[in-house]
Amino acid sequence: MKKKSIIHVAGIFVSAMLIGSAIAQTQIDVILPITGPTAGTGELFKNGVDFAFGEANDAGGVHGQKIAPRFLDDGGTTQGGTDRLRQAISGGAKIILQGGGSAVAAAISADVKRWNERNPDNPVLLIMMGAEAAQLTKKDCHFYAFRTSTNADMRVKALVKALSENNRIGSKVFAINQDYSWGREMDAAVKENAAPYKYQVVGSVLHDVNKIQDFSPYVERIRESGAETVITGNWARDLLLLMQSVASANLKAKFATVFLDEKGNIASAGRAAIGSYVATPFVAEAGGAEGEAYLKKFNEKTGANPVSAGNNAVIAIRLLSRAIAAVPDKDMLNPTAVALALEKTTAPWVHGEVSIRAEDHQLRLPLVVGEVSTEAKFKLDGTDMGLKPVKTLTAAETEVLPDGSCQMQRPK
Amino acid sequence: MQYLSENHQSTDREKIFILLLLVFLVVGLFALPYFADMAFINAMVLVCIAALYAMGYNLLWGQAGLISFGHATYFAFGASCTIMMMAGIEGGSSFPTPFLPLVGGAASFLIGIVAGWFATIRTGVYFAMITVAITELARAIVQRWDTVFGGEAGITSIRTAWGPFGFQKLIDVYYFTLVWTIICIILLWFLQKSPVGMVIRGIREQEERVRFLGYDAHALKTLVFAISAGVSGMAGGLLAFTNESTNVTLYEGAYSTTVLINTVIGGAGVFLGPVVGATLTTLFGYYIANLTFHWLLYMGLLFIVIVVCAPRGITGLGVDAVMHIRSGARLPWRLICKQILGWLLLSIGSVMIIEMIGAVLQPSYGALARSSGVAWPPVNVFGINWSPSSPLTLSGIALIFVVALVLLRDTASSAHRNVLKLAGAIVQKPEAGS
Amino acid sequence: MDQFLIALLNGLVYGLLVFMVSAGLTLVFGMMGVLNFAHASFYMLGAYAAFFSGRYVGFWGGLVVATVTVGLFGLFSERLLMRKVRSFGHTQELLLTYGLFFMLEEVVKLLFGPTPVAYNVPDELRFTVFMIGNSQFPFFRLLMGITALVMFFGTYAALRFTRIGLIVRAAVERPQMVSALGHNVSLVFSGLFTVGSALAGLAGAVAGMYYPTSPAMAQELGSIVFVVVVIGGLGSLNGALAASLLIGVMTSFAVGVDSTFGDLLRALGLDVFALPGFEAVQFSAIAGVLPYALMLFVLLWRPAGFAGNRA
Repeated sequence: MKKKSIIHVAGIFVSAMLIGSAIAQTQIDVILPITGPTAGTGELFKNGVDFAFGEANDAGGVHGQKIAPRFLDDGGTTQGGTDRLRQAISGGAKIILQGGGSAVAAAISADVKRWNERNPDNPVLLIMMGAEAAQLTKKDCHFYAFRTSTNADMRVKALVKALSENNRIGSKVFAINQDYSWGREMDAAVKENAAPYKYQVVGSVLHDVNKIQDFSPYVERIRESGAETVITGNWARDLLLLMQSVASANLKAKFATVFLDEKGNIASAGRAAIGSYVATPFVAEAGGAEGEAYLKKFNEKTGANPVSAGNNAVIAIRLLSRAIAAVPDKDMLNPTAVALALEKTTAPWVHGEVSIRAEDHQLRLPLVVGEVSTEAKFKLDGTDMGLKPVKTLTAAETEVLPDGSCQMQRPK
Repeated sequence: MQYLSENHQSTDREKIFILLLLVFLVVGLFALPYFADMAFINAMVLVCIAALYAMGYNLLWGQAGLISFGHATYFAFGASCTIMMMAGIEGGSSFPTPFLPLVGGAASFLIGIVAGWFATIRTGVYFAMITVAITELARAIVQRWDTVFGGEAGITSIRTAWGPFGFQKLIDVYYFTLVWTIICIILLWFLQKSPVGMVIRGIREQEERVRFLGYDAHALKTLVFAISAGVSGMAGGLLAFTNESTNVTLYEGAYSTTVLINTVIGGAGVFLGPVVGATLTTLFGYYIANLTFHWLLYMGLLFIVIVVCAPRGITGLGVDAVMHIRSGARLPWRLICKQILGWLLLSIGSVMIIEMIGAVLQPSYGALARSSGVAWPPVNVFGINWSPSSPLTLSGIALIFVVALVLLRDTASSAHRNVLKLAGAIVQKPEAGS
Repeated sequence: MDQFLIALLNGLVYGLLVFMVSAGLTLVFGMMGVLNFAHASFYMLGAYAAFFSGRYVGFWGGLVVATVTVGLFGLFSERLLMRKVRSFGHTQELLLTYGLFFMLEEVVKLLFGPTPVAYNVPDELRFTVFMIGNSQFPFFRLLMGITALVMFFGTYAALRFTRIGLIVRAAVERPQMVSALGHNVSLVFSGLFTVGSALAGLAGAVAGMYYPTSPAMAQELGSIVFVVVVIGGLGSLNGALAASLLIGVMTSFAVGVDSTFGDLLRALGLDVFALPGFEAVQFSAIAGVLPYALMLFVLLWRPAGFAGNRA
């Protein structure tokens, strides 16, 4: 019985190796958390990537060639991110897409920066599709890094702007967020926007990430403060439990969130989600005919809805393919040429054109603030609830101007 | 629990064989960069780090019989301290870069003394629970103490050149890691052979007796814990060196469980067992992760198979084979071939089923089915497109399983008897020299 | 006063939920000396089984199916896997349960995906039972609490007043003696393991409706359950109940407190210890860590339930 086990090991190895021979070498590497604790987010990105590459190829590809993604799984860890990056570079990749959380993105971005410094003749271009930590386009910016998602400042600005213009924000706001970079940035953004949008921050909480089992005590604090609106950047479990506690405690305050539309959240929150707001890149009902068509095509190709991060991936690839198309044939995969092109490219998007700022490589993106309602035209997550648009903000309205902390060294 | 590797004297022939094997291995490792690509060299750096971590961990398990479920703290603390020193060097300190891992090792050694003193008050499951509690507490503290540990953004630094060494290229990092790993393993070997090592093993077997012989068991266990933590800290330092960054996720449970899995798969009873386990799982995770997204499931299955069928790990199997030969019997080659084929088929069949289930249950599969009009679009496994509903596929898989089970059926019970016989035989034989 | 009452009730309910899961674990450990890492996975399996079957047999049917399925699964793993490794010692059993825990999470991800599934409280059960001040206390929380209490009293009564219970309790203390008296101890072991797993499955089925049902469920609850089992005393049902309630209430209150460590140190006159970065940490932020600190304390001072050769 014992000797067999070595063989079993070998057997599994061999079998797995054989599977791999089917996957061909492709041009653009995509590093995602396909396994691990953030696998759900990785799935969203993957759907977006699959759709966008398919869309680009259906339109003829770039320079007459079809492009295909090669997925590398970073397992949601920074070590995984570093490993996959090195694997990608050693496989000859010049342009790398990355999706997932800010910590991994920051690690990969730092690695890319170091590689480019050590190998100035062989730079690598990185596009971060979903990281929302502000520092990535501030202190930690560098020429070969682009970010195609929003950040805390933009999301909060969109939420408070939309809600206050519709008189839904009230005068008392409570901020509850997770105690790490993202949550703290959300917290700071809520406080910063208090004066311009004329509300008072009556309380703010930073709690342990993914550790709190029961948000009832926090809900009681919110109730005590008399807040009319609660702004939170929580995601996944922290968001779900918070909303359930709110619903069962019969709290009258309205929730303004960033990640409520991620897959599984609305289904899991159930009735507790009704009446909550979310600032997101895509709401089908707000996009008119074009929005509906996009939703339909996305569903056909991937079997899933384009929610939250999936849209960031689509935007990233649309911009990338247009940038590559804009450079001459020989420079197709030249990171410097493509990066320069990316700074000038625009791409079509359901809610308005998108482009990237040259100063810090931050995306300019329109955001839609939607309300979870049973009256929405398009339902999400297999439930009877969907997002009803409250306000669509143009890219100019959501933009938060750079504060000068990004000192980018440009190539000559 | 008796460990076969300690209860027998290697014959001179065996010693020479093992020595040659090791020399060959080391030479191969040093020659690696000449015929491997960057991805593989990077993988080998991680393998060395994981191997060193596991060797440090096994000092506690294999030698002292204490299973720790919270070793990530010492590994991560070593990494954190090393990166801080790297930042210090970057800022102008004259600490020589090549000695960086010692910083991590010393730091973890110190906290290992404190943690070990508390943890070794108890044994067995209680010891394990204390290590869990300590690691959870450490994690919580570290994740809050952003000013020192950098939060989840972490601390970044760079490798500063020193003397003739640039340390800027991956190859430099590889040799650096390899040299430190080998040095530490050799030192661990001498520790194991020394009188201290012997007393520790004595504590593992019969603590009370060792106490009566006048030794302070608690102090010794604390020392072993501290050394184990220190070696793990050195491994952490090497990780900080190669990544040039650390963050607080290193303190989380996953890093404790990885080293446990490595040691179990490799075998805690043989000195280099954990190295084998670490190599296997690291390379497995590195390469298989790209081929299939269910690699964690395969790893879990592998772990269970090893625990149930090969409780002393892979190296334990090797030792059993050696003992088998030594006892005069010849290896039953026909049986082995049957087993190999049987397990191979079983693996292939399981992989096919798992991959198919995984593919079919994806939402994109449903979308593909709807858009292409085919009820069961083909799934790509092993480079061939199989249609899940075709009778060819289903009967093919069934056939694989049937043949596998037939091959394995008659070997099962006899193998089980053999294991018990060997275990029993060792226990009954008088201790013929150690 | 309302605040206090609400925090107390919430803490109790959460504690009872933790008890539901830890009850089986502590009994199994007390009896077999095996700390079953996969116990929290059985909890997760219960939630998924109820989710899956609930769509076909309704809510209550889903609960029953979940309990039975997970119980059977526990039986199979005990008979098929754990027996095999028992001859190699407690360590191997521990490792096997760990491997099961690891693997079950992956299997669930394979079958149901990594994101949470829509396993929710059915609409007909969403009503308020009573109000405290402004807060509504939902029926479902009460149901969770009642299930836990029924579980406790049922198990306690079974152990105390039935003949089987007597044999089980004896087997926990002196397995060889009980075996020598002619009872089939291995059958008792299997039975206990099955019942323990079934209880965890029921807990999962009930709790999964209220809390998000995802593959990460097992890990999230798993560590708290171990803390509870250790503090309460391995093998003691009463201890598990007391410890669960303590942990639940403690966490609930700690979160509600608004002051920081700095405040505490200043109040005690120990200003000099208020290091930057540390003194600004709020008590509520470490609510999740208090149980571990307590566990460490208990382990070092008095691992109650420690029975000599169990170590």
